[in-house]
Amino acid sequence: MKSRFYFLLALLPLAILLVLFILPLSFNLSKAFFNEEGFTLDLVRDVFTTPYTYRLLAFTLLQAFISGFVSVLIALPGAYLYANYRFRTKNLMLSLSSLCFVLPSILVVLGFVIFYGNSGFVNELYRKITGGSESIKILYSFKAIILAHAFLNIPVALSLITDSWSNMSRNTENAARTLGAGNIRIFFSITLTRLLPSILSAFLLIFLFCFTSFSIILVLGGGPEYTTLEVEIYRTNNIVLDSARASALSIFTFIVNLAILIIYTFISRTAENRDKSREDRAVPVKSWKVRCALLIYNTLMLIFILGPIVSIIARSFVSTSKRYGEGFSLRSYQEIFGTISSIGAMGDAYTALLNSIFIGLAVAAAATVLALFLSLYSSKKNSRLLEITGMFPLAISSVTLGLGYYIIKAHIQSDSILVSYMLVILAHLVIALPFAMRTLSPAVRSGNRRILLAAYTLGTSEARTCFDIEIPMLKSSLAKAFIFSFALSVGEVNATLTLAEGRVITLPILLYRLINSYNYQGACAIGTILILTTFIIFSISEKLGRRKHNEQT
Amino acid sequence: MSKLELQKIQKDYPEFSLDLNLSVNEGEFLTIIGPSGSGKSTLLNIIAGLDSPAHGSILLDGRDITSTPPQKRGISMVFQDYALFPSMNVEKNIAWAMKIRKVKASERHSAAAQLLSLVNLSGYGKRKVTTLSGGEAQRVALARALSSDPSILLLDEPLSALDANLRRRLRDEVRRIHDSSPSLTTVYVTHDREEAFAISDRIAIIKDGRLEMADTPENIYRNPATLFCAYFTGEGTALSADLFNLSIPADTIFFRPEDVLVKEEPFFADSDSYIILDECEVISSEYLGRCYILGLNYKGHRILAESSVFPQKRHVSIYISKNRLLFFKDGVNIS
Amino acid sequence: MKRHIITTIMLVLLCSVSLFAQASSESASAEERSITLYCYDTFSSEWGSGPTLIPLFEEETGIKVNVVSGGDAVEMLSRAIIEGDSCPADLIMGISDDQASTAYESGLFTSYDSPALEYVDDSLEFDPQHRLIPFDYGVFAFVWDSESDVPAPTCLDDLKDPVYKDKIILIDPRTSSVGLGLLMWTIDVYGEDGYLDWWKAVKENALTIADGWSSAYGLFTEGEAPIVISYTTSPVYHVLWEDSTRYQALIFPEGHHMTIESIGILESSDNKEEAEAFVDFILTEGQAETAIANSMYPANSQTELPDAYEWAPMPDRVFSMDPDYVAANIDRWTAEWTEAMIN
Repeated sequence: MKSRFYFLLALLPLAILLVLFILPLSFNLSKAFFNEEGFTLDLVRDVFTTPYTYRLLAFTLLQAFISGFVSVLIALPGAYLYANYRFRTKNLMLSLSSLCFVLPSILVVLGFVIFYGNSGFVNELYRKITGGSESIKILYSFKAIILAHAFLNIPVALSLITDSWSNMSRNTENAARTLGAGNIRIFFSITLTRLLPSILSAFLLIFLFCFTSFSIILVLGGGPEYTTLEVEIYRTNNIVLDSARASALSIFTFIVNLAILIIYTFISRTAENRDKSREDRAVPVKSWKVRCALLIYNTLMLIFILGPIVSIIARSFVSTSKRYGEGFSLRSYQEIFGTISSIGAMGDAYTALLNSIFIGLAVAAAATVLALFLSLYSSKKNSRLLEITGMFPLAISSVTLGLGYYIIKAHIQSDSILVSYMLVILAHLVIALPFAMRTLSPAVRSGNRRILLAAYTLGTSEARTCFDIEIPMLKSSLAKAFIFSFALSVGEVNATLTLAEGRVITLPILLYRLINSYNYQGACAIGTILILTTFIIFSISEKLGRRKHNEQT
Repeated sequence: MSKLELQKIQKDYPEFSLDLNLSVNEGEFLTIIGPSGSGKSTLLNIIAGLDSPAHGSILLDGRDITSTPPQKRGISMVFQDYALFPSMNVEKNIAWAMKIRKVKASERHSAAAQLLSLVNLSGYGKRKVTTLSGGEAQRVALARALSSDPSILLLDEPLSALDANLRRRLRDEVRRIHDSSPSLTTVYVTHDREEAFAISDRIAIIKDGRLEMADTPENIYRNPATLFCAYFTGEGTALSADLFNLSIPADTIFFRPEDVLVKEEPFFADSDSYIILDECEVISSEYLGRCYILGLNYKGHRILAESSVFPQKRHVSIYISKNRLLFFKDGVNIS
Repeated sequence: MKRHIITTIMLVLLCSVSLFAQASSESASAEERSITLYCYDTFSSEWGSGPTLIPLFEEETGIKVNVVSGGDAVEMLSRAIIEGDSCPADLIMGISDDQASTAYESGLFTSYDSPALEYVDDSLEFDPQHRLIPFDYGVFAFVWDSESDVPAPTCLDDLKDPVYKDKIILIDPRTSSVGLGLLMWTIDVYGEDGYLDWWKAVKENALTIADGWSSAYGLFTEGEAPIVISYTTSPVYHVLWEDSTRYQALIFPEGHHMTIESIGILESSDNKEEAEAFVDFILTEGQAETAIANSMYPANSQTELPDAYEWAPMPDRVFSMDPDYVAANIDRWTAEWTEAMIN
């Protein structure tokens, strides 16, 4: 059957990807091929043959690998509990755990320092308990890097693996049980094998995130022995001011990431081919052993995840100013809500919030729609290439992307604030697209094709079938993609700084300005608003997703 | 002129190569049966336009519809897993095709109600499709398929997912519904031989993408075109022709269990009318309620025979009516 | 179907609105006298001196200023280089002296010998050709928490003392201009042969080597460590807004490294007169606000500063490096530094 309709659908996202991603990327990367004399492969060759590059790559891969491994390992028992049992706080936990994913890294660092630092909460508690003055040095070491990465990524692993596990039918396991296999045996030889694709997917996704991690590694790691490729790119571009060589390094990074992405796409395809059962595997909790396990895991998760987040929230209430009184203070919030006139940036908080929400909603709508179109087309065409294309932006850090953008900006002269808004929305769109695709693509693919065929035989055109039948079946995935894209947009700072040109203020930009002007209390207050906004939207989505799921089963 | 004609339909698939001609008469109920992976569903998809052949043409009322999109063929299909639209309730599912054709809402409503009563589901209109049982869902799927007033109705193993009792009841309903619409032509796919025999006007047997035989159930049973058809349509025994002195140049003879008389005591039989085999050892038996199907061993050959009683003796004699024998050479019936 | 139409309409609307806006804004800027300023983000933000200075300037001179900001000055410079002749900016503000070489090489800037330079000390005029005109400067120094239990170090070498173990927050020169400033400071004092030894020794005492000033200072104010590399002017903020003299900048006798921020007029500008007026403004009336907002010293020595600046001590000796020298060696320095730190 000709799928011209679906092809037309895919044109728009492909065009946008081309203009907003491929173009800036190639502008950025093409600098690597030119020096004073003209076209040359020397720079690129140099980067690819210097042992230093590979040393950097080695460490980058190492920390990404360990981060991914640890995250998945810790997420596994959680996924087991969440997939197999129904309990009241499940929605809450899942929403909470996705929060940290969205925070700008400076907040993550701050939160970590406040919670785990030498003068942080954990150590204060420890000192009180032991009565001594010794602190446990949790931060400023390699394990701190892994800790922070795990904080950010365990939710990803938890969500992905839980999703896959809860759709696995129990039949194979039950069959094995009747054959006399013990639970542990069953887990390792049956369950794990069937989960392996989703575990590997989670691992690879986390791996990619950690690959481009930057400030977390430097600050929390404690020293330059933990240097990654991103640091080297930044150094070359911003300090040494050698943008050509920086581009060459970016090419190297891009190729490595692309390879990882391709492997990921292939593996996640296999994950979807497993037969899915419509039913949710979860059963109510009966035994006290399980209840206990849930309690322990959830508590540990809460502490681990909420620790840094609550630290940020708490910090927003603490004033270090002798003028306004040290200690508990509502000052930052009073400035935000206008009950006290503000010094400087805080007055913008309201505008920033509105901007962030407006841009976030626009981005979420656009990203969801475009990811939908692209997913629909790629599932009809059964094309891996398209899926990889949609996930491309993941292979590039938002810093690199931002660098490419101002090259584009240089060619679009405009004083208009609307153009700035548009560009910010479009940049966020490109960043959010892979995540929306990651959510929608499997859902579209696992849809029952025969339902569409039935519609065709009843006289429905392709277009109408797509819009009136296929898309309504995707409601819960659409909601998820929407929320994720919203959250990503709301927390994005790098590309926004470049493109907003100071005209458009968003919450993260405000945060950045506040931190640069020593106002940590204000920064934490904005951070709290970020957290709250995201949390609310996430919970709505989780509820919507559950409800639709229950309706359909 | 037949209603539907498949002419030289050819396409290669991983498991088989489709290559056949088939005609379907107007108003008839044709069932396609065959082993799994033989191409039955594929054939249905091609008829519906959901798949296209590499070569060949499809004629509907003499018109070539090979390149007509499925939306325009007027051919409806019922799927094994019902494929109901999950986001709509029962009535909306059924009314969907009418909505596409811009039928007014009130007319849609009454038409849907009529269809619901046709499938014995009156009052189910507002039910959510996800709450239906298998049998109910399938009937809704049937009603929905009929709502577009199709000239041909295709059913792809619609009852396979249901339990045996439900299957028997529903297959009769399917036939009844077919009968109630005088101009409806139905093509039905199943792997259940009994089902096919029970409700079809004609049966087409497909093997490896090729049409073995298409005829009435009686003809297929009594006079199967190939050995495969013989085996596929019922129990039977095939023996090498060497065992017997025959004038016909066959390599295999075939007979049904019910054409074999089992006797424990000597029986006067005319050797012109019967093949008599003595010293058959009773190896196994299957009790069917109305009779036994005995598995006998004659000189190393296995023979199936029907008997109303279970033999007391271990060795029995069997009498096979010669005029019920089927002769095959190279798998083809030459009787 | 409906959603399809809605999306299309939305996109069409957005495109047409932005096109309309672009057209109207372009025509608007053609009518009045205006200049376009490229600067770093903090200038244009409410907190920066932008929003108070700009209206003042516009009122006084009738020249409209269109502020375009990005992440930092390096970005703005790179952007201007790419834009070449079609660059809409008349001025670029915020290029520091250690980035100057790239600015020179770009050929983007034209000379302007502002009359206000009379009041600027010669040591600050790092560009003899007056392409990049200094408007404020900062002096790197270690800031110490007076409420901590360690004594204030008195010189760079003191920081090697084991009493400071895990008490110092340094910044990475590969990712931060402040870190770079510290690196150059050590080269100033110890020379190219000795600076790495200092780093190797003090690294043992470093709690962490942060990626940038924001994280470093954040750690400092959260109490993670009592000593951080920052500016001599950092205490000014705390005095001005928090009435706190807790954090003190330490002056070392061997001298400190200085960083100078400059503003430059583009050769391609069509509004050189207006741009020059802006430069003069920044160098005179705009000095105090700019300095306070950026937590720096004003280049114009005649500027009146609030009392809080008493808490920003001025060292006796101040170093700066020739921009071309910096450009020629920076890659090697940072690479050597990395090598020394890793082993």
